Amino acid sequence: MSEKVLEIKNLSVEYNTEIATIFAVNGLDMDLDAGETLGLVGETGAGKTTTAKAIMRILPEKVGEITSGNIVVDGKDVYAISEAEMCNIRGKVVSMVFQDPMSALNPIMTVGDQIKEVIRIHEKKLTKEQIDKKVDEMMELVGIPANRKVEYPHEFSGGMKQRIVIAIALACEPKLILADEPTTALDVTIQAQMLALIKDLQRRLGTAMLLITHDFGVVAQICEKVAVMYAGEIIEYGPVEKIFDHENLHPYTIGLFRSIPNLKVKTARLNAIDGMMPDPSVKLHGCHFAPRCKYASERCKADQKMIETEPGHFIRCCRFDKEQGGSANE
Amino acid sequence: MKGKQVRKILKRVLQSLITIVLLTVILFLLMQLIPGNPIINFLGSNATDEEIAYYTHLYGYDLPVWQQYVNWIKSMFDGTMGFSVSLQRNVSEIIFSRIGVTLTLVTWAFIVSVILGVAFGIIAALNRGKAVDTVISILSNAGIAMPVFWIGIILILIFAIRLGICPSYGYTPISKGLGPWFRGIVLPVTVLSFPSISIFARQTRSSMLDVINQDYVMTAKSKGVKKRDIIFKHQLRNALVPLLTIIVNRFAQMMGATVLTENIFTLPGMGSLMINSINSRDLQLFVDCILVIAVFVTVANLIVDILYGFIDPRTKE
Ligand SMILES: Nc1ncnc2c1ncn2[C@@H]1O[C@H](COP(=O)(O)OP(=O)(O)OP(=O)(O)O)[C@@H](O)[C@H]1O
Ligand SMILES: [Mg+2]
Repeated sequence: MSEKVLEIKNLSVEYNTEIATIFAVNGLDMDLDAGETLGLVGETGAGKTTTAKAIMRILPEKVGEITSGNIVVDGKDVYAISEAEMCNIRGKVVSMVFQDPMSALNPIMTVGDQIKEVIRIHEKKLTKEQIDKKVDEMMELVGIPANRKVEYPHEFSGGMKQRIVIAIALACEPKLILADEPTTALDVTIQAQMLALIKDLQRRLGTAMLLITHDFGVVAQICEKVAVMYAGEIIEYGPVEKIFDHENLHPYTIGLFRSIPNLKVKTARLNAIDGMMPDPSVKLHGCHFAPRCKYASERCKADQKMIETEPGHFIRCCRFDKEQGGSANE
Repeated sequence: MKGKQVRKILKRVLQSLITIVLLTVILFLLMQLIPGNPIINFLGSNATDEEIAYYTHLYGYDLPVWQQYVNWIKSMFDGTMGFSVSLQRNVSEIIFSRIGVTLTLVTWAFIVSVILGVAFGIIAALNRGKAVDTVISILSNAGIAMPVFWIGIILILIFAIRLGICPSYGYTPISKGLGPWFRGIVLPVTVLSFPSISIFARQTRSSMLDVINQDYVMTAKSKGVKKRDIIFKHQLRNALVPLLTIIVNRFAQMMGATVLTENIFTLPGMGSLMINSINSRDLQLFVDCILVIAVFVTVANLIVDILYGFIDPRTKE
């Protein structure tokens, strides 16, 4: 058994806005081993970013609320410790890369100072010179000449800004990095470059990664495991090769694969999944996907368990439940 | 990079100088247009035509208009700033004896309102929707809506007449002791800063709310930056960028608003001097007062522009 860097048990997150209560994450379980890469896939609004922010304990104050469950990062229960202790974990044990590099950097601080800030917070023993040296190293590591550290974010292109953001996230060699769609805001050509960079650094530093994306292509490229999220729940979880063999999958995952434009097969239009994501302000019971599922039956009204259909591959769908007379495997 | 910045600053200084030169022309033309004659006003209604002619010639009011302008500009450089007919002294001496009061008043009011206004704004923003926020909101709306002279009269009624702890008029120089000086200046400073505190609080609040949930704040949080550093190093510094202009514009307005405040508390500053100069039709004095205030405002604006270069790197280009 390898050591776990992330363990989430039965996590539920709500946003209490003036208009409604949004049930963003509903009883989510997730584990990540040291050095492992997990792709978290799902449509917009599935609760992916919310999950990541919950791990960092940076949900919007007062609005975002954890209503159940707990999150353990590197052996520490994130919600049982003080804010000061949490500050020592953020950036050091777990860091986050946000979706949009254009706005992720402070516009009035030099990029060097922004890298320096995280090192200074966590590496208290280093001298000034050692910190400066580390900043230079990080810049070079992500492929930006160190002499540009005195420049401000607006003097860099989007791809370079994302490199800086990655340098900040990796500067203290965290055990876990949460990458929230790190490439969506970038050019397609730069996307591939950036993914290669992240993967390379991650392998070198032995960092585990939760890669949030709605792009299966990205998952296939760099992840070992996949979790598919739908309406605040993980509905499918397993090794990449098991999911990508396209056999015995959750009906929603099948739908997701179908909606990827296929260049080989000529189709008149994209196969979007029929229907819409359920209203997140309504507390759901039973299978969350049932209203859009062509296999839906009476049994889907009951709350669904994760069922291990083959070693390491879990599906939240009663059709795979043999005890209940599931039929999907036959 | 450095040379470019120096050149930019020099360019702004030059622009400011041009502004001031243009202003002298406008002020001088204004002086010609405003009805009333300082000589007649000075001599009184019993003056004979000979007397009027004599003094008009003596003070150079019979010269061609362009010559009068040149003389005025010359007087800036010889340090007299012209001669005040009504007070029978060089204008520079008069202004010199008056400006201390005004600068003391405006400087303190400015410092107080920036500190309190920005602090209230931050507190309101960090407690958005809570009782503190609502209270600050109501107070700042009241501060903007209440007329200055009304606040002044209320303060005089309470602190000078009812409680008797502050004088209701006059200025005590600091050389007479810190206590008396403070008691004399505290009410005028309060009156002058009241609207500015309100405006700064409102602007700081909205400016802070604009930056509070920015992505870079999230990035800073996920680096492990402590809450206090997030507020001061990341949020406030960014919020200050748009605030700076508002704050300095306010300084200019305070230089104007001080006229009213000085008159409420009968303080011997530039404000009351300007009112006196109008009453005695001493246009030379009046125009010089305005020019001095305008120079202060221009310099303040210049300082901000230069500061912007340091605070917001995006303006360097
Ligand atoms: N600050 C907030 N206040 C209220 N509701 C929110 C807030 N942030 C997110 N939500 C809601 O929570 C749900 C999950 O949002 P989340 O951002 O986690 O989705 P996501 O899976 O990251 O989607 P995307 O792919 O678009 O980034 C959505 O219904 C969203 O509208
Ligand atoms: Mg998201």
